[in-house]
Amino acid sequence: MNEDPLDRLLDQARDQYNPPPSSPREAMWAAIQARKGERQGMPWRQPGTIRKLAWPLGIAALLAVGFGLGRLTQEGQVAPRHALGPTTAPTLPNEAQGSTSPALAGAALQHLSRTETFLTGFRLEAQARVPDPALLAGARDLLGTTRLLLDSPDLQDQRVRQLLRELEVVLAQVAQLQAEPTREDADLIVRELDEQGVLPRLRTSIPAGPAANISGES
Amino acid sequence: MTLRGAPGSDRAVIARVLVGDPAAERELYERHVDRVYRMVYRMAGDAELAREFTQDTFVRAFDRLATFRGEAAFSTWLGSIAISVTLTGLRQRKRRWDREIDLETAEPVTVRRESLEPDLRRRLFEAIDALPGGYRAVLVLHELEGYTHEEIGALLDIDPGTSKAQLFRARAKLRTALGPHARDWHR
Repeated sequence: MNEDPLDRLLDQARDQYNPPPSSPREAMWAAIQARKGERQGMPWRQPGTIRKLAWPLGIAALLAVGFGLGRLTQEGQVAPRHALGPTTAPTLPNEAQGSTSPALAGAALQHLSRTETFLTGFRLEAQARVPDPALLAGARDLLGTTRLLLDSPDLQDQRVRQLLRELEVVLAQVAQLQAEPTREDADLIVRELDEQGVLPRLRTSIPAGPAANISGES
Repeated sequence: MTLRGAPGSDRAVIARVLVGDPAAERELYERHVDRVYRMVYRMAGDAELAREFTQDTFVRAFDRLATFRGEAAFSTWLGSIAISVTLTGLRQRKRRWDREIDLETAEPVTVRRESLEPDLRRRLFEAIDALPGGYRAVLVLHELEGYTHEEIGALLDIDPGTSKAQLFRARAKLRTALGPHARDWHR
């Protein structure tokens, strides 16, 4: 039987390819113990902690990016503002919050406030003219956060989830409008918003307090 | 799930670790460290990297020990962590090295090494080094460390048939790489 020359080469390689020296057991053990010690001083490294915080932190990060982009894209535009109100940051009502974590409830509230501001602006714009693509760009960002919230298993309040599902549809329509904005399409979206009472329901789901206070804008 | 095992078995030691016995943790480490280090060193080919990857492996394993269900042997579970840590670590370093080489010399490492030691063995080792991570893992584990395809399948979380196919492709790549030196090869 002919021996494969590659087998012969690999046989030789067995003892010669990266031949391992004896392991530095003590040094590695000391390093492992040192790292364990470091980690025990970091409560957020405890098992399960990161998983619990992942959704609120992710959504908060997305909201922060969204606010930043929103400021950039809407610079110079007159953004619709709520009437002056209390300056303390509101929270979701207890019955709406359910067993949702406070961090996630806060993120959801910020998102609802921001969406309400956006849709109010969109409605005003659509009634006056063909909406500006720069304004419509905000829908895509809000849509992303809406989906992130809907995907969060910790957001358990069904009323908020239902509202988010409706907002997802509306925001997807507005986002699609960005490619080729027409007055007719914008009117259709506004009519749907009004018929379904999305904005009034959105407003009642947000406790008293201007969105500006929640986002930290002045 | 509670792990049970004969006294002195890995499972019995793991059960002690999970209730906070530090001596058991050390015992588990002593039982497996040489094998892990050997496997990692074979893949990394560098003492410093092998040490770093072995440490990472044990840190992760101790972190996740509560998730070890005992469906496979502990050595297999630990080995799969070691391979994952090593392949990921090598990929990250390769990207960094490639960037540094681009910036500093723009000369491929292989050319430099080749000119230093142009023998067939060196070419074979360079060809093994150049294999994609998964292929190299299968080749090193099977051809050099003597693992079966079933064992490799368990370590890499792939089907034994996939392990065989990857070994076949790895060998084909070695043949191609050594092709220009076939005369030496057949001596």
